[in-house]
Amino acid sequence: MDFRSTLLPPADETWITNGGIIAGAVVRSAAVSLRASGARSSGRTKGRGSPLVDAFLNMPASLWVERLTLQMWSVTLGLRDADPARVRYDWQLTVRCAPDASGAAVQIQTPRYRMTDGALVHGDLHDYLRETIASGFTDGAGDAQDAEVLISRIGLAKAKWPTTQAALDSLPRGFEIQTSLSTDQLRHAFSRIGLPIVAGTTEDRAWRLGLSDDSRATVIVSDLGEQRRVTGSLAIVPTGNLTADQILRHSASTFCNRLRNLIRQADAKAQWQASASAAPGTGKVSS
Amino acid sequence: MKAWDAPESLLAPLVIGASQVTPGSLGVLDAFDAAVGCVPAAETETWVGPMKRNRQSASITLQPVNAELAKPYNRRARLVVRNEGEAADIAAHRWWWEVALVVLKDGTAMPAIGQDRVTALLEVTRFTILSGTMRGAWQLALLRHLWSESLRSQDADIQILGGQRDWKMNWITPAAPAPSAAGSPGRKK
Repeated sequence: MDFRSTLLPPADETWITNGGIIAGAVVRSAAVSLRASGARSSGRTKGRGSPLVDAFLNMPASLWVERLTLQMWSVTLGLRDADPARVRYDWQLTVRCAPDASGAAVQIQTPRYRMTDGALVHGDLHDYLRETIASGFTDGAGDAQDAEVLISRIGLAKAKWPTTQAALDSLPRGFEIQTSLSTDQLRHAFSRIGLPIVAGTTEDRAWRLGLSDDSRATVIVSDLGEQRRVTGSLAIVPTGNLTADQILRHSASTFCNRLRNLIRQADAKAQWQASASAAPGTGKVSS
Repeated sequence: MKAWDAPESLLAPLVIGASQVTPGSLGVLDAFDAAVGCVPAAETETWVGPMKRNRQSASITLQPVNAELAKPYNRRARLVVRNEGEAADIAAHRWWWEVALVVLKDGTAMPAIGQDRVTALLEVTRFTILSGTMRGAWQLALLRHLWSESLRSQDADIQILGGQRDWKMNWITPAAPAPSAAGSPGRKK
């Protein structure tokens, strides 16, 4: 199956960006508006078995949307497995934006599909998607975000949040690093931590841990002549919310791992010592 | 408002224009690496074995994609369902979503982002919808928020356009009602 149309990008000043973003919005918008919520996909690839086995194998189909290359998208309905050989395609539709001799062009194809009794499995969904994508390219993508916003809201509302208590007690509260790195090299390492910075001076830094400024990591650098000592402190304030505390725990672990790795990349002999209590003089943050 | 500036969409790309992120584009990539590490894994179970009769412990985990497979992007990370004891590359096929980050050439996103700024694009390159719901929505919202927050903290003058980047604490309060598929209003901050 093949469909071609000459378009892209719509000459619309509300889309002041490059064509790839517009094309992505058209494909995403069409896919999320498909609402394949009721679609069920048979685990069987061919042949017919007993109704009981068919019923057992019937599972809800997933819709997978992928950007395969910078110019190509894929929308697939079917069942997925970790083993790529066991993927069950109802159909796969690809969208390719590739300029040709006539100018910008879009190709919509169906490279994989499954037929049952002479009909495409979930053919109505396939045809709807193909038409929606085609009309998105020809008519513009002005309302593209509406379906995305809705699916985002539903996704967050139905989210399964963490249900276990975060092990905050096992986190170190202080650490000390002895290193031969210079102050400038340490400053470079600090600049690559990647967590939100909540305070910073020439030698002292503080990063936010988790979602609130109440929890933070602080470091102070002391010059010991040939060596530098980095003294750190982690202020961990539990929030009482399971999700926020899990994020806090991962944030603190990420901070320690990144700092240790960044320093060891430059100084393999750097000594790291963690402690269960905050190091003296690092409890307060200079801003 | 630009049509592609949709702060409630988890799927719309984020485009940033930074002038003070240091050093060079590394700050953008480091913020991504750190954000990936901060997204907690969630416990789950999968059905394995003949006729999928046996339950097995698993986790919904955000894992980075190695640099070679990340091309042409600078970074990629995937939210996957990973069975206990399973290798990351096996679990990588069982993805729920994937985001990719690329630092663009100067001027790629003009005129939205000025030519003299570090320009980067964070895209959702893979996602799945099951039973009308996007899977792994909160982990995606968290990653986008943490990346944006880190960049904001480094550059007070940063431009961030596109999809969701803010975090609302009332998302994680219990017993929040689910909007209907017909389009009930979203939760407000």
